[in-house]
Amino acid sequence: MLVLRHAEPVMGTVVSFDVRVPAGSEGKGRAAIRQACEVLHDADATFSTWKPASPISRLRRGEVGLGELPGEVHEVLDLCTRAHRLSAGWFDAWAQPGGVDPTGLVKGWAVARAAERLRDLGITVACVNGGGDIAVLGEPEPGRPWTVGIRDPEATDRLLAAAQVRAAIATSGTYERGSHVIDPRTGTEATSSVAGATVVGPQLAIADALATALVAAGPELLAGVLAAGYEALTVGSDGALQATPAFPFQLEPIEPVTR
Amino acid sequence: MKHSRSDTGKGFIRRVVLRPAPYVLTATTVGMVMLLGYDPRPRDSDLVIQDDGTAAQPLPQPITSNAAMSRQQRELLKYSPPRFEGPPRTAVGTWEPIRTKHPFGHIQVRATVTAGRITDAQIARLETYDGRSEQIADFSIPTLQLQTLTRGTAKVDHVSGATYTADAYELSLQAAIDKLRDGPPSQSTLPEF
Repeated sequence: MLVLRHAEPVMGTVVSFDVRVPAGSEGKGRAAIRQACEVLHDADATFSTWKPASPISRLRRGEVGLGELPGEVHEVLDLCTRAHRLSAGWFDAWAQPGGVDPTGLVKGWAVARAAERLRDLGITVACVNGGGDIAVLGEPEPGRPWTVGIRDPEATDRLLAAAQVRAAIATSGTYERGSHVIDPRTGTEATSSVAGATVVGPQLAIADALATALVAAGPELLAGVLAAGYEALTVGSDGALQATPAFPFQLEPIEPVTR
Repeated sequence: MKHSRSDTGKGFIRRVVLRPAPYVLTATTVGMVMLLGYDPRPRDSDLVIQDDGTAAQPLPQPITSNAAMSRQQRELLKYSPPRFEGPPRTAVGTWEPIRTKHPFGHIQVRATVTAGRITDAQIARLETYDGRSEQIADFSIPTLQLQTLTRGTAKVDHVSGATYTADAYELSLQAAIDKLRDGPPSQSTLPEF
């Protein structure tokens, strides 16, 4: 298998692609990556609250009604509704400054969509990483799931743990930019004891939202995350780790295969 | 369960190697029935989103304490499955958690059993004998029991950790991984933010 890597600057971050294709299929793999990048740029154009002309910005300013907006906006707001319910209200796209703001799950949604585009184009083994929101296809080696390291929010070059990922993993917390999570009860920056939260599960957009919700709510929301069908790991500002019972820890580090 | 210690010179790393074979199954299907028998998700009524993107009705308040959690959530917090003796003869499914002992505490293992044999097992949770986990909460894990890896980029395929800016990406483990074996990524020019 050939390993194709690509880093695409988009959505204010860099999205890394790791696509594995059979020897001789490099052209097909590169073409699929290009199309997946287009998916990301389209999502950015639709959902960036930094771009005044984006549909989401126009919705926030009340210039357009939801009925005039593309289906993607409806899809994302539906996901926001689900995330709101699954997080017992702690993820709240409607309690953000400046009006409805789905930013808390848009990156996860877009990265998952990019991975789906790869799959639609015949790619079976891939990992798409948008600033820590990761969607995977297949396994890098038969029988070995993708192994994802979870960064320590206190030390950028350290890992807290590693997880086996079969679909999606998302991390939220007080990393480079400090806390970016709004407490929906107060409308101000969240002050829970959670410094970082990682959620693993079937849908990246929901995992992304639940990770954000855990940072706002604190570890008591772990039960709710479990009930939603996801697994989570939180690290407190004091370094204490908590996790749902079946969080897929990778306890035996896997050495890289030299290719 | 086999334990080995290795001093890498970069800090102490404890390795836990999972060996499923010697486990005695102490799980029960009751645990699965309990999880599958009802839909434990919060039962807030569905939101109706109006044409302007706002919610049609007041949003439910976030839970702020254990007292405000649903009965199901409280049950999940204290969830501890009953035990039974002996493995199922023929079954396919995932049992969680299975408890067994290891030298520094209790370990909970999620196992998949096929035709009475464990075909897959994963560490689900660890509790040390020092009681620290019991002092924190039901979901606590002692930090020392986890893989704490310094310079650990060679151990993982990718890194999750909320990298938000392109500058941060350059410094991040993920950038290191992208460059690990195959040279720089195909597009290495980063925009200014």
